[in-house]
Amino acid sequence: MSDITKKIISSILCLAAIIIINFFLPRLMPGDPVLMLTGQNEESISAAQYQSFEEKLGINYPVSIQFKNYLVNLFSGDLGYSYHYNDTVANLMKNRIPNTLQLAIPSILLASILGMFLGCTMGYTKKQRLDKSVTTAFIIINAIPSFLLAMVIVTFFAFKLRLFPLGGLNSIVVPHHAILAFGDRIKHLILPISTIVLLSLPPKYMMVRNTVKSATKEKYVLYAKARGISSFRIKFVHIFKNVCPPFITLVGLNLAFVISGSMITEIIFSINGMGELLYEAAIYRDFPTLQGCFFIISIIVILANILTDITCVMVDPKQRFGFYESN
Amino acid sequence: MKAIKRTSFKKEFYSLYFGIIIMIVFLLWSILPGIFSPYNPKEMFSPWLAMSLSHLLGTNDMGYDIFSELIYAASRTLFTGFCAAFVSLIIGTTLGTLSGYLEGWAGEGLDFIINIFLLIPTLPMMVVVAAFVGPGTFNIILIISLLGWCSTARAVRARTKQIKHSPFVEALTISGISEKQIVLKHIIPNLSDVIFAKYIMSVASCMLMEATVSFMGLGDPTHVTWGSMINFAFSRGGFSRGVLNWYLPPGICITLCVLSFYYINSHFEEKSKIVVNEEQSYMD
Repeated sequence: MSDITKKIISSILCLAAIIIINFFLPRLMPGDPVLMLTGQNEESISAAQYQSFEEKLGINYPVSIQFKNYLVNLFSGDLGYSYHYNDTVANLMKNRIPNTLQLAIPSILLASILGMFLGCTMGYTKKQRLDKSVTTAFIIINAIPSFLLAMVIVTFFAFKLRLFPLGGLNSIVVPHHAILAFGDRIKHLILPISTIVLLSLPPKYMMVRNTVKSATKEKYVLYAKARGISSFRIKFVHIFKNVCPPFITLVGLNLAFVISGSMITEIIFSINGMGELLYEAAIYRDFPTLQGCFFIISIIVILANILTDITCVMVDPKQRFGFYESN
Repeated sequence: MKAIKRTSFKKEFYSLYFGIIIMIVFLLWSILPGIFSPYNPKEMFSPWLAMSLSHLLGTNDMGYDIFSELIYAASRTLFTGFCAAFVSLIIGTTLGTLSGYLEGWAGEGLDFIINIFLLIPTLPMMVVVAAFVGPGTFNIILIISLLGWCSTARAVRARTKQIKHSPFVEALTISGISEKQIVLKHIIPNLSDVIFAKYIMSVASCMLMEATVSFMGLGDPTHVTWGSMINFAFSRGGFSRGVLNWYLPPGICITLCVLSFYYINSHFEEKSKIVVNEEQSYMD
């Protein structure tokens, strides 16, 4: 079995596991599944209401039929109904996914480029002190809890210095002109995106730096130096090619982290995204929304993972021809 | 020559000293909070006091002394971290060793399970499960450890595979020693450095996870941890008022704790790396 088929099979199995977890969590936990799935209190619900909810959810059927119904609903795009928001979960999600992706995608790209650039530069440089101080800075950033970093950034750059807006995606009055509106959006996105970039940069930087550092001792680098190739070209052409495949794998594995990072950032910047929705749903114990969010986030993460694996195969000729034995 | 050696020797240990000193301070805080804290954590003063000599970090919205709360929160935070890391270590080591040692479908299947857990987005999953299970320290430990064992399992698996193909295990197999004994008495002791390193790092990551879950408002409401202190500061107006002395200190404590674990770990990791390198150069 090649690595890529293995990855795809495990992604499908992961999705299946998430569906099973989602299905069984409300039914196995202590407490009434009907109350859990509707997010109601025992006191606030009448017997007739309870019965109608029970019928709607089909809790009184045997588990196998319930599971079948659940799967059919899921694949027809019905993620449940949130009684807290009085809307279908799919509808709630539809407005929020673009906002989260707006944060996550630029952050992933920026963090990857910055991590690659800084890692290559610091791994190759002869200035030990510079390398050491940058690395230490990243180690410290890595240890800071994500929400604290976001809070500190808001406090200093928005609250104290008033350079950027405090939160949200738009000003209260959005400028009419398209370019001005775009500028307004960018201004609102700068702080959250830089927070996520800072949060997801350290593992990428460390990995690239360490790989480049060990690569500089290899003979092909020595030979390239002997041929008089500029250090810029050695860094970003010769070594870069060898760092790429493990780097892309790391970016793929980090996606879930970036998504969770953007969720935390959304909460603090009060951006209407999936993270904010998940946070509110957790506070109000709105279980259908929680589960729907979890399901959609998992799908995004898993799909992105498959995508990175395919990119990895395309970039790395050794993998394309199956040189790595699967272990 | 000697002088150079001494300085380099000392410098190597700076980070280790840093880590150990911070660790000792936090452990003392958690074992004997009464000695260090000026007040009882439930003693009420007037709310929103600024930093002063009588209240080192001021008071929060309920009028509790923040410095005392910080010290009393240390034990719960560390306890959660150590316990969760321990449970995840046991799960990770067991699954990792088995998947590395077993051949055929059993090993492959366990490997698949590890890969599946690696793919699950941890934070959303933790929030969902924590919301269902309900708040409580024990529940949080369980959730974190059930989701945090993958990296341990992966590292243990890789090392087990390496050891399994080494000559001494082959010699043991040939001399007819049972597989159970090989795994328990010969492979697991050889994994100890990986396990130790992973344990320390997973205490750090478990503490971060606990802080995040507590920040999302799903922590144990009866015991204050550093994460829930930040959550209170965020949800009860400390953040919007810009009261830095409320939410910054617990965050700095978490950061310092994670850093100290990192430095202790990296010291031992470097040591084990040197040993490996020497072996390799010897082989060449």
